[in-house]
Amino acid sequence: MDSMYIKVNATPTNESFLRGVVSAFAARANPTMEVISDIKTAVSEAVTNVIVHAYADRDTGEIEVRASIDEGVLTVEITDRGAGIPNINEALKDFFTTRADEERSGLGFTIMAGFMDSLNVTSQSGAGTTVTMTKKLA
Amino acid sequence: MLEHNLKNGTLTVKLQGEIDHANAPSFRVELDRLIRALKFERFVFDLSEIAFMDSTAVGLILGRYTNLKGLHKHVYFNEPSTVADKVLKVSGLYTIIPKI
Repeated sequence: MDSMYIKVNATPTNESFLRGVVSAFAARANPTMEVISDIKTAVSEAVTNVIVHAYADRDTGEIEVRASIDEGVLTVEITDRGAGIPNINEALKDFFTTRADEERSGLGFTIMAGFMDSLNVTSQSGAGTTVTMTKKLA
Repeated sequence: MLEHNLKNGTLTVKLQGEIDHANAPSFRVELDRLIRALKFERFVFDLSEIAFMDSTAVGLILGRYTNLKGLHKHVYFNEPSTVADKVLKVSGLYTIIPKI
């Protein structure tokens, strides 16, 4: 099974870097442009959540991204060691945001779910969050 | 990354390239500057040259929409690129801002 792992600082500059890395990794399975674009968008949402929410209360933090391709299916896992999500069901609702004052749309998870084939979120308050998504590449 | 055109009371702003959480603030500053400085009746978001956008861009557009509605302006989308179109559809933005 083809796999990759990368750990970077949770900075806004790394949003475009990480979506670029994961989509470049997925490209080896020759998906369509639309699939590549969907993956970029979903990864960007997950990474943005880490920066905006997980490490909102501190200056530094790390984002770990694991991805693998198995039988034409991409699995991507994005992990932080930040604040955690107190209520996942609430966070998954369309337009739910804790940062309305910053013009956050509350659609990050909506887009992840809509653009990927599956979305799973596990989180522990104070310990961090892992978002796992899959997408059929071919 | 942003061009504008004012003609017959229609201000068209073409957003170009990628919009994400890292660069949305600079788009916001420039859009708000244009909205304050120019006289117009209709505002058009031209998203034909968007190469990437995510929900941060949805928040950016919604924020400008709210301000423009407060100023009694009409707001539209023009020719969103394929990638922009999909985000606009999933986010439901077409239900409040029509395409022209």
